[in-house]
Parts: sequence; structure tokens; C-alpha cells
Amino acid sequence: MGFKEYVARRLLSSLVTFFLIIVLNFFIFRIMPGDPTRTIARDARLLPEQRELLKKRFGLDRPLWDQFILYLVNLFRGDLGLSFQYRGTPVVEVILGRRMLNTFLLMGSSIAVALVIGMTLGTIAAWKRGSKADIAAIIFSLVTYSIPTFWMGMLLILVFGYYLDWIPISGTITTGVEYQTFWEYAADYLHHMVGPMVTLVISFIGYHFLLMRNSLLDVFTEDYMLTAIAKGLSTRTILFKHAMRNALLPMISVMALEVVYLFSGATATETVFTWQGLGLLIYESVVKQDYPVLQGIFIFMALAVLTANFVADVVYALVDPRIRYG
Amino acid sequence: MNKYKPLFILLALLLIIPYLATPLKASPEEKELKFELMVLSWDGLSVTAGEVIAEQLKKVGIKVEVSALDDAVMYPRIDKRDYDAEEMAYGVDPIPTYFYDRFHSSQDFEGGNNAWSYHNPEVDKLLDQAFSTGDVNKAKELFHRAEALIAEDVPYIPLFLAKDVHAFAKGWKNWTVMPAGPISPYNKLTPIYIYNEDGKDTMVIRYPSAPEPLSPMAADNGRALYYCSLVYDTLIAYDPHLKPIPWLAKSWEISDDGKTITFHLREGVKWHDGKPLTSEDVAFTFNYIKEKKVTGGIYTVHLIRLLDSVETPDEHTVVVHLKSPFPFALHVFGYTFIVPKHIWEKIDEYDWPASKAPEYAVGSGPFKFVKYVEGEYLELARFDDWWGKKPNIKRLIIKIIKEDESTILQIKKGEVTTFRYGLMSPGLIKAVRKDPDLQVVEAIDQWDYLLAFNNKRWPFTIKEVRQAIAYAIDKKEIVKKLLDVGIITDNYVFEQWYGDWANPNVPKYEYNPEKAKELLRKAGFVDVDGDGILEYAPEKAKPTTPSPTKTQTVQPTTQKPTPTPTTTEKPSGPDMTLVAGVIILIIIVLAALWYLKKR
Repeated sequence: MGFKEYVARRLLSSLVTFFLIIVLNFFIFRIMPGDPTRTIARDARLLPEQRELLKKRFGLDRPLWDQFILYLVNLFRGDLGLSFQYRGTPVVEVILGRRMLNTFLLMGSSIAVALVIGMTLGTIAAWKRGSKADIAAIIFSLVTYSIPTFWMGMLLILVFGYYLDWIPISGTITTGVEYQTFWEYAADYLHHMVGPMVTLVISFIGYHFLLMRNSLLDVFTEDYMLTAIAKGLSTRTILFKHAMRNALLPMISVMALEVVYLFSGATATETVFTWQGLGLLIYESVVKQDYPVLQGIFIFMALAVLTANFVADVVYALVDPRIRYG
Repeated sequence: MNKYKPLFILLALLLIIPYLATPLKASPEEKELKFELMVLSWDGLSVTAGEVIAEQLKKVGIKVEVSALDDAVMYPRIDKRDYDAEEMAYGVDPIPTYFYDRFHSSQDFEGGNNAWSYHNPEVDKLLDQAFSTGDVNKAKELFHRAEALIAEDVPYIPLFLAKDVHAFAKGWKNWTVMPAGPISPYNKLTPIYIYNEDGKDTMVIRYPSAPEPLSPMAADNGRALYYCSLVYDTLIAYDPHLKPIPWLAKSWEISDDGKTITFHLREGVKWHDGKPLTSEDVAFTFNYIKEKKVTGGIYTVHLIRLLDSVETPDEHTVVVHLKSPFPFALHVFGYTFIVPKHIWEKIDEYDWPASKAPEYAVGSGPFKFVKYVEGEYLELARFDDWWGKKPNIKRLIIKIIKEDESTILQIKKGEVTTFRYGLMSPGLIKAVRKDPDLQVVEAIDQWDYLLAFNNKRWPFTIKEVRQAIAYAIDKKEIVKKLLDVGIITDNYVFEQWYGDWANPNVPKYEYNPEKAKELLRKAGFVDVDGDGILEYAPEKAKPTTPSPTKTQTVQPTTQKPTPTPTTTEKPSGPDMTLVAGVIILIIIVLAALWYLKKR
């Protein structure tokens, strides 16, 4: 099997999976308890004709099969329907607006920072395996990894937001401020991002740290490491040029998996800081039974996961030739 | 795999036990007096009250299984009348139209508000009359008669009205307290009169989620309606006792037959864009609602039903003709958000998205729309050309904050003034009440908690059972357990909201467990198997009920006698359960021994 054929097969299987997800995505919300008409026509006193008009507006008067066909057709036209809670606003607008940006910036930066810190700490800990520093780092990462993020967030809010007054307590920008320049806006936005970002970085570090450490410990047993030491290379070169690069392979798949966070957000953290991102949107949509929005987000999430996996597969194949024949 | 077979058998047996054990208890005719009580899982008050009720009813021999459900599960079951009993909050507004919706038999359809399937032709007749007269005094009298009948039937038990607990940041003064609290869509006074001692001119009100829909015709939740009440004027407003006061209309007359209402509008009223507001706009609003069958707003459902035609004899007079008289017609037309004709005649879809607000959100209220930053905040500014007293604050910002805890921290810091909805969690209320940095305001809220029965389902088909439960419930204890965040009510029409519409002499069910037991026995419930739970056994109950004191001594004898001919030959419950239990235990021990030996 050549490289091209391998890529083609991967692509095909991704497409099939995506189609299956689209189908599942439609029916799974219809199986769930709760009636969507109740969300839009919640008032029991509504006159029957009012109810019918509302149902018609959201296409809920049609049989399920019709709704499904309509959903498929509209999906390929880039139309995900109208949101129930943000009445009359197209789902695409709800998702791909401010919220998407908020989540992208928060999650992207948190994951990046956590990756860098976690990997560096992991490398050092692995090198000094068994030392006090290593044990302390393991304990630290286990603790931070297990702390519920909402609790962590509340603690940060209480200490740094309320008592010390260093960070804002909620939101992404200060209310009712007219910004003179873009930089003023950016500074305000970043100031608001400190709280949720620190929370997320702390909760992500542990995972990356442990993974990197274990991956490196495996690499250290390889023969080429012995060779590198025997060559008399400096510790720095051995660690960061020889060991870390080889230990990065498992990290690729981890990063691919983490792409989904860019779309799913971190519901708990976003809720605590009222960071209006997609995680908070998912939560609110579940509470308000806003199926069109949930469907939309899940499709984006599925697309992100599939693309990331596909890319990871291809990158793996490029990096490690054995995989194509596996 | 074979090795583990005995283990699987054991597991299967353990799963089967409960099924074997339960049906053996009592004979099919002697049904246990037990029911499932649904409570709303995310509402702390509902859950706690449900647990207290279960304990109280256990004392009189009724077994209650409390299940805390999410609304997505609970509401459909109520809609389909597929439940035994439920306990949660229902909502009321300044006019008691719910009285019709909750008790008229015509409202017992899937999703209808008569969720208890209450049918009483006499009540139906009284309600029909009360809601089709223009004579308020006559309507009140009919209300009283209907309420007396309903209280006698106990289709549900009113428990308490929740308290609206609001906290204000230090320095803020002069809010208006009325039913539903200082910050509610019915309270147009607070935002006008409130001021800050330290000279702050921006009031910030916290919303737990987005204020959408911003269209006054689509607004169908408390957040959206509150925003609309700031930006749009209504013909009347409410005073602290919910009596109508002049607003856009400086006066009004209602004809004797109750079918015509004439509103006299103020002069010199302007829209936020500077154009004058005339009777044309008012007539347009009413006709628009009727034509488009608008679903939002406060009383629009009634408006669509009642409106026949609107006349505008001159620029400042609106004459509304009704299809039939309605005792609350003044509120229905008076408390409708008036929209500008010159903007809305171009709007075909009344349910417009928030992105249209900068163009469409033109009202005539004391505050005008400035901007809405999606998910963050909604900014309003004082409208300086408003006809009434200028609000003391210059800006009003609605800020979205998800968590109650961080809201309170921001109020303590002074960044937020107060919140839209009263606090719901008893724990937080307790903390807020003793916080010296906060000013706490408590009022009657619009949520009434009630214990509802499915009147079509046994045992609630029996009136005595419903009454007995009413006697067996100690509302004082419930409210005490809820840290006093409720005000006990025995009325079905709340005196605290509607004044003399409530019947002051409605039959009350004072806490009296003895009377409850007596009623249950009269209805044929006796504890046949001695497990503390009553069973329905009229043959055993009736012969031995000469007086309540005697039955106590007679009861032991009612346990032993041979079963009545109607019951099958199954022996009475507890022995059988015991036998079954012992047998199963022996099987388990034997199986375990066999398994060990094999190894």
C-alpha cells in the first residue's frame, strides 16, 4: 500500500464517519426526552392557531422524515436552522460569532501554554527521575489534574477577583465601555482572560506533564540514548534534541484529540467566569432544549475531530513509515 | 467462562429478588396507600419541600416515593397526565387568569394548565360566568364561590408563595417593593426612582442568561419582558399594590356593559427617534398583535381573543371594542407594550433576531436602547424627552453573569447593583441576609409552590384521601426547613397578590394528623399487614369505625383474622416476604458454597 492510497483510504473512512455522525446527530436529539415544541410554544394558554404558526416557523409541523431530508439539504447549503433560545437567529450565526472566537482564544492559548509548561516540566522530571523535584512535580500535577475546575475558578475569583481585585470576576470585556483603539479593547479582553486561562492551564498541565514524562522514560531506555551519552553530548542536547523529539510522537495524537476542545470549550470554567464561549452555549442549549444549536455545535465538533485525526494519521505516516503497512 | 457461571447466576438472583419480594406483600385488592411524588431536581425549594412532605405523610401511614426529575422529564409527564403527584412552583401575574386555566375542565388537555385533571361542573359554570362579565364586583363574588368549592375538593394543596429575596449594593436607595419584587416586568417604578447616594449614575442589573428575544412582540420570558418594560411604555402601570395607575393613558373609561374601553392618551409623548406618539400607534399595536397572532408580551393571548376593533376618534383617544366583556380587560389592553407604527409597519416577522435591535428597538419608555454586546451586556440610556419624571440614573446596564456567587461578590464590590430574579438557593439567602455589605429586600414572589395530585389516578380519585393529605401536611414545618423563604398560603387565589379577589373564608386545613387518619379510615384505609403503611381494605376498615379512639385498640385484631372471601388464598404480606427472603438467602449461600467447593 502506497502513501497515496493510504491517505485516500483514510479520507474515505473519515467521510463515511462524518455522514454517520450527521445522521446520528439528527436522531439522537429526537430520541431524548422532552419536546422541542414545548421550548418554543411554552405557554399553555397559547391559542391552537398560535401554536401551529410557531411550529410551522421552525418546521416542526412536518413529519420527522421530512424534517430529516430538510436538515440534510440545508446542511449542505450551510444552513443549520434557527435557534430556539436566540429566537430567529440562524444557528450558524450563533455559533460562528463572538462565542467561537472566545472559545478559540481561551482554549487555544490555555492548551498551548499548558503544553509548553507541561512538556518542559515533564522532560526535566523524567531526567531527574526519582529526585525530590520529580516527586513534588508528580504530586503537584496529580493534585491540579484532579481539582474540579469550577472550584479552582471560584477560588481564583474569590482571592484574586474579590479580595485582591487583580482580575475581573466575570465576562470577556468591561460593561458599558467605549474603546478608543483596538489595543484598548485587546488589553481589556486579555485582562478578562487571565482568570479562566490560569484555571485551565493549571488543570491541563498535569495531564501533559505526566504524558511527557512517561513517554520520555520509554525513550531513555533506547540504545541511541546510550550512544548519545557515550558521545559525551551535553545534557541539554541529549534531552531536548534527542530524547524530547522522539518522545513527541505520542504527543501528536494527544494534540489531535485536544483540537476538539477548541469547539467544545470548557463548560465548567466558562460558566464560572461567564466566559461566553461554546462550552457555555452547549450547557445553555441543553437546559433550554435548543436542539438546532446543539446539532450545529456537534457537527462542528465532529468535523474538527475528524480533520484532526486525519491530519494526525497523515503526519504519523510521514514521520513513521511503518504505519502505512500496519 | 464456565468457571464464572455460578457468579453470573448469583448476580441474576440478586437482580430478581426485589421482583419476587414485592408482589408477595399484600393481596391485590389490598392496595398500599403509596404514590410517587415528582419534584424538580434543580429547584432546591421543590426538592426539600418534597422530602419534608414525604416524612410528614409517612406519619399518617402514606408511603411517598420522592423522585427528583429534570424538567425535560417531568414536564412531559405532567403534560400527558402521566404522574401520581408532583410538587413544584407555578407562576402567577397581576391578574388572576390562572384561576380559570388551572381549574376549568376545558383546560385539561395535553399540556393544559389544569394539570390535575380537575373536573367540577359547578366550578366550570362559576368560572365561565366570572370570566365573561365586565362587572368586577360580580366577578369577585363568583371567584369567592368557586374558590370555596375548589378548597373543599382539594385538587391540589397550595403550600406557600416563595419570597423574592433581592440584594442591593450599598449606597443604592429608593426602590419600590411590590409583588414579584423590586425588579420585575410589572414594576416600572424602581428604575425611575432608584438613586445612588454616592452619585453613581449607572445601574447594573444582573441577568443569568441572555435577554433574548428583544422584540416586545416575541418576549416570552421574565428577562425579555423586563427589558421591554424599560424601553416600551404601556397605557397603564401598576402601583405597589398592583392597582392600575395612569401611564401613557392619563385616564380611561369602561362602558357599563364592559365591552368598550376608552383610553385618553397623554399629549406630547415622543418615540425615542423623536417622532410623536399618537393613538394611531396604539391602534396599530393592538391590530398587529391580533393579525399576526403574536405569541410574546404579557397578556397578548387574551388580547387576541378579546379584541373586536379599535377606533381612534382623535390623536389622543383610543376606543377599544371587545367581543365579550372580561373583568381584567383594562389590564389586558393597558399592560401591552406599545410599538411605533412607522417602524413596525415595515416589520413582517415580529420575532426578529437581536441583531435587528439597533434598527427596530424604538420605544417610548424611560430608557432607550444603546447597544447589545452578544452574551455580555445590554446597555440602555435614559431617554431625556420622556413624558414622566426623569429617572435618577443615566444609564442602565443589563449584565449577563452565570453564577449567583460571583454576582454577589460583584454586588459587594459595587460593580453590580442588583439582580433580575430573586435568589432561589436557601443557603445563599442565609448568607446574604447576614452580610453587612448588602441591603436585602424581601417581597412576595410570583412563584406559588403546590402539591398537585393527578385527580384521575387512584388513590387521588378519592376526595377523603386528598383532604387527609391536606390535614397531614404541616406547612409551617416545610417553610421552616426552607429557612423561611416562603409565605404560607391556604388560598387558591392569593390575597397577597389580588387582595379581595381571594375568598377570606375559604375552608382551611389546619395541621391535624389525627383527623387525617380518621378521614383515611373512613375512606377504607387500614394498616392490614402492620408495616406502618395503610392498605385499601374497606371491609376491614368499616365495621370497626365507631369512634376514633376505639379503633386504636381494635386494630391489632384486624390484622389476624382470616382473609375475606374476596381476597385470594395468599397469606398476608410480611410472612411471605420473610419466607421468600429466607429462601433466597439459602439459595445464595448454597450457590456460594458450591462455587467455592468447585474451585
